[in-house]
This record gives sequence, structure tokens and C-alpha cells, in this order.
Amino acid sequence: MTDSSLEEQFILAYTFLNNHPEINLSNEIKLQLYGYYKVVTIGKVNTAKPPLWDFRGRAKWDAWKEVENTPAEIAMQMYIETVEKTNIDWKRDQSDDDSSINTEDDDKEENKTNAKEGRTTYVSTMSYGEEEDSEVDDIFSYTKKGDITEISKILDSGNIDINAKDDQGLTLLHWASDRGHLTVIELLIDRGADVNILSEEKETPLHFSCISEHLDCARYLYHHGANSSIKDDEDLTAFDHCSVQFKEEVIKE
Amino acid sequence: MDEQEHDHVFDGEGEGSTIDKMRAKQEKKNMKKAKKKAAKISAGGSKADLEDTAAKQKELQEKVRMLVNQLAIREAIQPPPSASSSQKQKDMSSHKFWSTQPVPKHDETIEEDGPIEPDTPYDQIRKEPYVLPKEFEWVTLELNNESELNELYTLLTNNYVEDDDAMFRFDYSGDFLKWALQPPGYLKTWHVGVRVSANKRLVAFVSGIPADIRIYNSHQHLVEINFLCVHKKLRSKRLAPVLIKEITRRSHLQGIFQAVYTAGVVLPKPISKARYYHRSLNPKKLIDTNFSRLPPNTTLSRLIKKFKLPTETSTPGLRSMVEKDVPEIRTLLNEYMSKFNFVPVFKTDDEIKHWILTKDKVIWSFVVEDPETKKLTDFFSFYYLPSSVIGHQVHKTINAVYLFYYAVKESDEKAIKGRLQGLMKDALILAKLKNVDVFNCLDLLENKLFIDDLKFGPGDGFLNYYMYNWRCKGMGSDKVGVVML
Repeated sequence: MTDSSLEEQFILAYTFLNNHPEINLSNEIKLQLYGYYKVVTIGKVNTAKPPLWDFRGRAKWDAWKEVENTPAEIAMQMYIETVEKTNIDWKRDQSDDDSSINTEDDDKEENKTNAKEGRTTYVSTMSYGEEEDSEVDDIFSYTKKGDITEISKILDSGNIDINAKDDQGLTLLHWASDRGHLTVIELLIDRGADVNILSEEKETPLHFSCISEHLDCARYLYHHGANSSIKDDEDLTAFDHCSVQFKEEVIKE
Repeated sequence: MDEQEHDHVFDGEGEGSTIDKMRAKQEKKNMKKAKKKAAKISAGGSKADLEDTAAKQKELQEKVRMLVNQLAIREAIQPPPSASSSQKQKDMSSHKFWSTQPVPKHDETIEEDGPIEPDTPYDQIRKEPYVLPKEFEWVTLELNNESELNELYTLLTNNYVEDDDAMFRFDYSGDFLKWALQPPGYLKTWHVGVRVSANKRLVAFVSGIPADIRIYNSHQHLVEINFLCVHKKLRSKRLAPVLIKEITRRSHLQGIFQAVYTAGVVLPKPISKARYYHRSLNPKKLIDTNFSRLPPNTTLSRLIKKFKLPTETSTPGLRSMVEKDVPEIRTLLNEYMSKFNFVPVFKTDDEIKHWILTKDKVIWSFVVEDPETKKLTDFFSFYYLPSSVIGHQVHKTINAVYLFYYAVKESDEKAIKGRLQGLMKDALILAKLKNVDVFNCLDLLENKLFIDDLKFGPGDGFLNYYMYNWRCKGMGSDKVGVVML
């Protein structure tokens, strides 16, 4: 078997699953597939472990971590075999021909309906398109995720302006203060980030922490030189954006 | 996803087991091959070899990534079929139960409105309950009895609805259930339970309540079916069809041969399909609980600002509804409903008093009183139905309200739009003041006139409307007025 045919098969298996969202795989299988998929497309784990309460994110992360040392070729092989093994009527060397799966599909639907019988409704939540993690892995994306290891690595490499702004006019410290990553804030300030730097709308990092109600972050910023009298474009200070109680909690020693 | 669904993925594979065995054999072979290969690569001799492998791997990853990207682009142009499997219709032959029931088929062309089968004469209606599997028995629940109400609450809380990933569950309160199930003229015999004979545990339920509706030009006194629930562990016993047949029988005994019901799933054959919309009032909590998601390139601060609301309402003359408003609200609501095709008809003031008048933590209603004439010009109402958050360390509950009935007196579309937007914005403000996290509605009535402007976002939930033993043309959700709980 040549590499290119393996790739093609992998892509076919991936495409097949994506074109048949009605196929109902167990979480275990889904996670396995996810792990191999990430190894094939990215390689080793490159994101921070999601927080405890994010059990979905965490399960996915764990699944990826578990197989991260698998060579891409093998991961593709495993992916393909896992798809075959689940008996969803996809086999390598068989194209995604809808007519060939229709009967099987109907059976699946029937089974699912039986399982859902008596459970005909569900709590609606906000709908989003299925988006994969953004492909860019720069210091801004690590900051948004709170990946302290990667951030320090890049900072250590030296050739980076810690007060640089992204296309939205925000610095790393703005993002960390918005997302509530206290350890990142500590690191950035330790490495000389300007604690009172302004966004395009003249907001300080403290504005972001106060609006987003990250108490620990706001406290840290306030007690490390943040100037709480700076007003943004709306002529409001950081504390004008939050409740009196929040402000008091921030200020107290 | 629950365990049952796991099992079903592998069901129906009994036949063709020879093929399966062969496939399994082949898999084993392939797996062995792959492992051997892996061993070879990881044990790979010299350092140069290793570097070579690493470089090759990088190259491979790059190639695959490109291919996947191309795929993503193709998918973006041509989206995959049906994102949500539950919204797909099946042909009748695959609905083992529904194909035996008087409901229209999916592919049926409907020419004329009317019943599918004639009313059954009283002497031909079965007088004894349908037979349950032998370990179960029928009961009629007495909801005025606190302990029975609690049993129902527990059954529904643990087994009723879940979203696809089972992260949220409706958390009906006892007061809510009494509001939903004991309207004027309710019948105790329509609160149908199933107990395990041995330990008397309540394991299934279905309810009916009397209702008057108008569908197109036909006025009907019928039954609204709701809260069909079977204990998770018993879903394979096929109790749901027996429950449906039993509530149907009990309706027939009262001389009622039509029913209205709703479901998230597609059955034969919906009259209309509505979509849920959600308006964030507490975006941070909704994101923390994964009810909604923070886009990677948006700051939380911006999102919070986007959903921020004033702390005071702006419609002059807006106040809480009180009992003396009841007759006027009845007229106002029935008049407003006349422009839709599938609506409730409120025949008595008692019904309005029950369904619309504020009951704290269940339903809140507000009216607009013209300061000069003292006449009521508009009203709106929303009901409180929290969801429990499954397995979250900080947040136990999402406080949600759902838009219920409303009416405006304006007559031209533009004036209605302006009026509705003002009223619904005030509704959001009032809900926010009650510490509500999210304000929900369906795209029924004239809700599309304010959904976008007031920053509602589409949900992943749909609600299909059905009638039992009635055939009529379908309609857009903006022609539907019936709001079911």
C-alpha cells in the first residue's frame, strides 16, 4: 500500500463521516477518531488542557494526548480501520456512493427513534456551525486559550514585542484580561507588558477584566499598577462598567 | 448521548454475520500490519533514519492538512445533507407505530381539511384500559396530592427531555406542572401514569388537557397531549405506544376524537415546524455552561456589551397584569389571534385567569394601559422554565423564560413591528431584572419581526406541531399561534 492511497482512504473515511451526520457513533469511537484525526492533521497536542468543568473539551484533549506519539501514517491507518470496524458500511476502496447505503441508513434511523422514544423533545441551545479550532497557532491564539507553556516558549525566543496589537487593536494583556487567564496576566506583566495600554476604543486591560467580571484578574491588575481613572471611548472608567460590590472586592487589600 | 444509543449503533447487524466475521478477520490482519509498521518506524535504526522519518511525517501532515482544507472549502460551498438527523423525515413504512394511527402520511397531498377517521360511536369504544406488560399497572395521578405531584416531578426531571449531548434538562417545578396540567375543565383521568406493580414506582406518564383551537376555519374542542415520558431504563419495552393508545381511548370516552401535540422529532406529519431562538441576558454564564459559545476572535467584553440592556422599561403605561384585566385581555388576545391559522380560542375569563394571569415563578404577564382612555392596548407574557446544568461545578441551573402569548392592537405591519420591538425589549428588561439568564421564543406568531433586531440567535432545537386524526395543509410557523409548554 502506498502512502498516497493511504491518504486518499483517510480523506474518504473522513469525508464519509462528515457527509453522514446521522451516523450515530458511540462517544468512545468518536473520541478515538478525534484523537487520530488531530494526530494526522496537526501532530502532537499543542493546546492547553481544558479546565475541569469543560468535560467535552477535556475528553477530546485526553483522547488526542493518548495517541499523540503515533506516527501520522499509523494514525491514518487506525482512523480508517476504526471507521471500518464500526460497521457503518464504509470500507476502504469503496467510494461514498449514497445509493449503496440507503437501506442500512433507514435501519439506523429506526433504531435511533426507538432509543429516543418517549424522549421526543430536547432543550434547545444556541446553534453554531461546527468549527474546528482555528488553524493559526500564534502567541495570540495561545493567550486566548491560556496556554502558558507555549506563551513562555515564544516569549523566551525573544523576538516578540509584548505590547504588539493584533488586527483588532488588542494586546496580549487585553486578551488575557478578557478571557480571565490570571497566570497569563502574571507572566505578561512580569515580562514587561504595559498594564495601562489602550485598545482602539481606549480601554485598558482592567476595563476588560471588569466588564467580563474576572475578579481575580481585575484584582491583580489593580494591585499591579492599573490606573482605574482612565476613561474609554464611552467616557467610562473600568469601574463604571461593573457593580459597586465588584469594585469593592477589587480594591480591598 | 446515552448508553442505549451506543448499543443501537451496533444493532441490526445480526444478519450477515459471516461477512462480519470476515471483516473482523481482515481488521485483525490490518491492525497487526499497522502495529508492525509502527514498531518498525519507532524503533527505526539510525538517527538519520529517524530524522528522515520526522521530515517525511511533517510533509505528510502538510499534505493531509491541505487536502482537509480543500474538503472544508467544498463543504462550505455545498453543505452536507441535514445537519440534524432528528429533523429528517422517514417514510411511513419505517414508523411501525405511527403507520397504524390516523395521521397523514409524509408524502400525502392534502386536498380537503377534515378528520381521517370518523368518530367512534360510544358503544364501540373500548371500556377497559389497554393491556400493559405484566409487571406494570395503570394509575391516575392526583396532582393535588403533594407526594404524587413530587413523583411526577421526579420522573420528568430525570427522564423527560435532554438535549443531544445531555448537558441540560428541563426542570419543571410542582407549581409549573399544576399550571400546565390543571386548567379549567381538566380531567383527572387524563393524567395517566404507569407504575411498577411490585414496588409502585412511577415509571411512565402521559397527559391530556382540554383545549379549544381553531385550525384554518375549523373550530374544535379537543385534547392537548403533553409530557409523554417513559423511564430511561424501560425505553425498550415500547410503553410509549401503549400510553398514546390509552390516552386516545380516554379521550374517545369523553367524545373527543382530535388532539394537538408537539415534538422535537419529525413524525408523520407536521402541520408546521418552528425553530427555537435564544436571547442572551447573561452571556458569561451561558458561555461558562456551554449553552452558547464564545467565538475565538470575539472578546467576552464585546459580547457582554452587545447584550447589555437598560434597567428600566420604556413603553408608557406598561404594568403588571392584575385580575381585573382578565376580560379585556381575553378580547384583545382572541382578536389578535384572528390573523393566524392555528390558534387557541379562549372561551371563558376563567381560562385567561388560569393561563395568563401572573403566578410568581411560573408565568409573568404585563399589560399596556392607555394613560388617557384607561383601555388596554397590548399585553405580553412569558413563562419560567429553568434547565438544570448536568455536571457543572459552579452553575446548577440556567434560568430561562419562554415567550408565551401576547397581543398588539396596531393593524399595519410597520406599526406592529415598531410596537412589538418596544414591547419585547421591555420583556427582556423585565426578565433580566428577575435574574433570568436567557429569553427564549419560537418563530411563531409575528416573532420574526423582532428576533433579529433584539439580538435573538437561532437555536439547535425545533418544535414540530401535529394534529391527531385531522388532515389539513401545512403552514409556515408565522401562521401558528398555539404555544405549547
